[in-house]
Amino acid sequence: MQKQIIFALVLLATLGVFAYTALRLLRFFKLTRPAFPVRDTGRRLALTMKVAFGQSKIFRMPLIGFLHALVFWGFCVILIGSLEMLIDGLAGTERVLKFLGVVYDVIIASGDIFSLLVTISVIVFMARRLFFHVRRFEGYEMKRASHIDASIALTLILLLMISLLGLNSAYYALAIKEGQKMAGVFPVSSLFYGLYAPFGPATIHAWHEIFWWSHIVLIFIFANILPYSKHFHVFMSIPNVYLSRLWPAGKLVNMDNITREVRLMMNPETAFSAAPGNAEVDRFGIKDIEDVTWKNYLDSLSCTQCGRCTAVCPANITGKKLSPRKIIMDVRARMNDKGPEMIKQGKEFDDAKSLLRDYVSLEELWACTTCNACVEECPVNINHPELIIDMRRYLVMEEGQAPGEIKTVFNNIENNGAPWQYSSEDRMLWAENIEMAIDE
Amino acid sequence: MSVLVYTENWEGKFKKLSYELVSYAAAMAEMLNTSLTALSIGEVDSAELESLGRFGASKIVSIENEKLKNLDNQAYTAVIADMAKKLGARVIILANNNTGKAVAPRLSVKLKAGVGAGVSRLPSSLEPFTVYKRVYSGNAYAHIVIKTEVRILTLAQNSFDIAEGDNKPEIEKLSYDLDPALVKTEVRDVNKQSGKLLLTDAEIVVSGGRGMRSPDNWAPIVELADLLGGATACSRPVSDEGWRPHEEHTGQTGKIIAPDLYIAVGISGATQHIAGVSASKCIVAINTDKDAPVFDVAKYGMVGDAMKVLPGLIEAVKNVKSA
Amino acid sequence: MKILVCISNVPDTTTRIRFTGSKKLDTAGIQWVINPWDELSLTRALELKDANPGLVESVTVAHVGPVSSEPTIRKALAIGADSAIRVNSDAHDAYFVAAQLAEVVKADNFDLILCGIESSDFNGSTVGGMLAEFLQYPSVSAVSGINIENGNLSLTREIDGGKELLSLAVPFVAIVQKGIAKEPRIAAMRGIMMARSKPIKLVEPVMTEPLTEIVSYEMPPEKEACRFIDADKPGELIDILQNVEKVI
Repeated sequence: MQKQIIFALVLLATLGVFAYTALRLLRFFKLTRPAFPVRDTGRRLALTMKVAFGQSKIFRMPLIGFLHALVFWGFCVILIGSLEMLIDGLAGTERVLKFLGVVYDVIIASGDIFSLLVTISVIVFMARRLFFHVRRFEGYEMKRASHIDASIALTLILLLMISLLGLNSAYYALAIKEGQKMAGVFPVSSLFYGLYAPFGPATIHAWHEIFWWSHIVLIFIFANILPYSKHFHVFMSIPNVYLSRLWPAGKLVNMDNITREVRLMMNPETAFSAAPGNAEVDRFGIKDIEDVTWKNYLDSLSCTQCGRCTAVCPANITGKKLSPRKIIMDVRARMNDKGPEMIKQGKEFDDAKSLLRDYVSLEELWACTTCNACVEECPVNINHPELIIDMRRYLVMEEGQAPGEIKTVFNNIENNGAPWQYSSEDRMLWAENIEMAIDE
Repeated sequence: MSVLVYTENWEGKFKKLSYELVSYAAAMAEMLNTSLTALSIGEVDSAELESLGRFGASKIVSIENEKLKNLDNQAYTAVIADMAKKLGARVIILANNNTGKAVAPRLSVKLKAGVGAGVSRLPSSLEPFTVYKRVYSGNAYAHIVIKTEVRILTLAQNSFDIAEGDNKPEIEKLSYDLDPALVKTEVRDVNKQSGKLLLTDAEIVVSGGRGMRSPDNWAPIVELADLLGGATACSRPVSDEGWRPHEEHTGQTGKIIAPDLYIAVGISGATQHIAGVSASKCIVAINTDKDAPVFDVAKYGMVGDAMKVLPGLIEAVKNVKSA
Repeated sequence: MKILVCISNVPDTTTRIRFTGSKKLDTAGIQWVINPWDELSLTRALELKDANPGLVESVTVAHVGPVSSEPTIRKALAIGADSAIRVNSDAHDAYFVAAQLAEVVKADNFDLILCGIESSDFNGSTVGGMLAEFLQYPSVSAVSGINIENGNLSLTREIDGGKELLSLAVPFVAIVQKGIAKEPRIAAMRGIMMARSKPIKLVEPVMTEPLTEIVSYEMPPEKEACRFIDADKPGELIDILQNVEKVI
């Protein structure tokens, strides 16, 4: 009973912190702009199965991708065990799901095997970070904090696996020692029996409790750290994939207020009698965090800083300042910086800084070739170019700022109807003297 | 009744440009059956002033005044207008250079004299006084009638041949009493390279464009220009990129030049660039693209890679120079 | 400080210039733009205003032309000019235009008046200087830079072989050329929308007799086709240049 009360209190505290975090994030989302209506459930579910659960994009790097997939699938299976621990803790039961019989055995056995596989994978990941120079983990946007963040996450997962193996092996050893019937099958944990053999049941039971509480408390801590870490993708990746943009990559979202302006301009008689344009029209493009859509913000929360996007970015590969990862990280950082003040002091809060220029430089924005390699690559379906283009829209449509060569193109299109410096009368010169055989 | 020509000097010396101007003015004076007076402002020695006589000036008026050391548009206008009135000038001729462009329009309003700016020929008719000039940045020419009794003309560079004789002119040195309040500009600093051949003065110009691919490839252009005794120039993208100093940019919004020979290397021939060099007597183009628009304005062309063609040209020039 | 930028309306550089008969420009299919030098001077004026908001009160553009010039004036407003003045008349000649602009300046007491060194249609290089003389204001030509230092204007003037740094007191006319601004501003969408509500003041011209008149136009002589010389025969080209063209 005592154990249940303590558990309930710990759970309450965890949920309390979690609720605070969730509310905070919700308030941040409220500061953003609408994106698109969420329809096509079937298509979205299929996409989620393939990309999220199937880890399809992760496998583009086959070996390391496979290890990540193992960790992810391991988590999915182990999640069931964790839910059981939750019920056990509150209800005072022991392995309450054992009534599932053979199904339970399968779940526990795979969970046990996955514990080992995840442990090995995480050790590989940690060793890789420590002893190898992985290019995509570096980059001027990857500060020390990011590296520490990664190390903390990996360490926590390792501890989770150790505590899980610990509690399962203790349970197994105890059952053997006491001759009890055990619930579940433990292909891996059983191998540790030798370690427990010298000890009496009381000691083994104590170890079980230690591992059990460690494990569940680590889960609570991990769950509450995640929203503030790059590992938030554990929660956010599946929703982010579900809420993917379903239109083809590279297709620009039309701006209705521009369509209206163009229509007015095509009829000059109406143009100058229409209401002054600068009044209520929303800002064009993205300048600061209040201009991003909820999907942009969700993208930024789902980003794991894996760097696969930057690794395939042709601009980045050829030495330009652009790093797609950085832009997504900047959105998240900007919201963390400005969001709390906007919530406290109102949406008009101005700290004399903005996402544009203070976080993301013009050089980065104009280096993008909009090839969408980053979109193809991102394992959680983040769309970076959409942000980049919306920031360019602000620059061009609000400030008239663009690199000189692009301004020349604008002028040429305006004056000559083509991007080049040729008279519009010469457009058809290429067609002169073309012999065409016409079949009658 | 006379013709007045304002001859600018550069550190006390005249240039080919000055002699072209005087030759033109002399021909004009002959058309009008009158005499030509040249006006010089600044410290110029007698020998230099006399040289103007060889090109047709019968009288030289030289005004030396410390306050007129630097060009002040309003002050110079006052002086020239005053002399024009004293000499009864019917036609006032200046060069179509920075100074001419600064002073001629002000003179026009001061004397209520119509301007023919950038003319390249003698008037086609005296009654009505009709001049010929390039318009639409060289895409057309116009015949313009100047309706006033006094006319001001600015002569386009390198458009009139020098005619040299052995005339000895009368030289009058005036100490002009200038109202100091007229000089309103204050020159605080001058940053000038002396001794270097100016692009606008060069008779031969070798110019490079983006087709040269990199600033590291410029040596052959500089060498060829040096061998020919000419200056180097470039197109706008090249000066924008910082490959060459922006003083070398020739084009519509850069320097407008009119050398005898303009060699365009790796220049495609965009309209704006051509607008800056179309008055050249002979344009030679070197480009890898046989359809490049530059070949529409060039008199001679070579289709080939500049880095391969230029060494050949340099060799050929060395051969003829040593022969 | 109030800045006035004088602009003229010219055919875009790539336009094929043609004439109906020999007296009038064939305007069919012509794309009209702000004279490139005026566009650069407008850009510089706006840059000065952005950098010195307390000192530079406003940037106004003035134009002498018929109502068909208004789209170009709107473009200047869209680029960022605060207001515009159009003298309702054809631009008969530079003297005429300068006389009109002089009245515009006198009516509103502008401090700094900017004119482009020439317009790409008539290449006269005269309006700026004439305007200054009408007003009896000092003028500086070949200006390649205008800066505000400690609340005062300082100009960079191009001279043969170099530059001079000048200062003088307002009011004056600066006749500007390349270098005055790095590249012209473009009209941002926001600017285009705001231009809709900016005023174009209409002014009737003062009686002035033009001093010159264009009586006819002529197309440039047909260019001979380019004579191509084999890239492997540089000697041939040099020979021609030396002996035929006599330029070497």
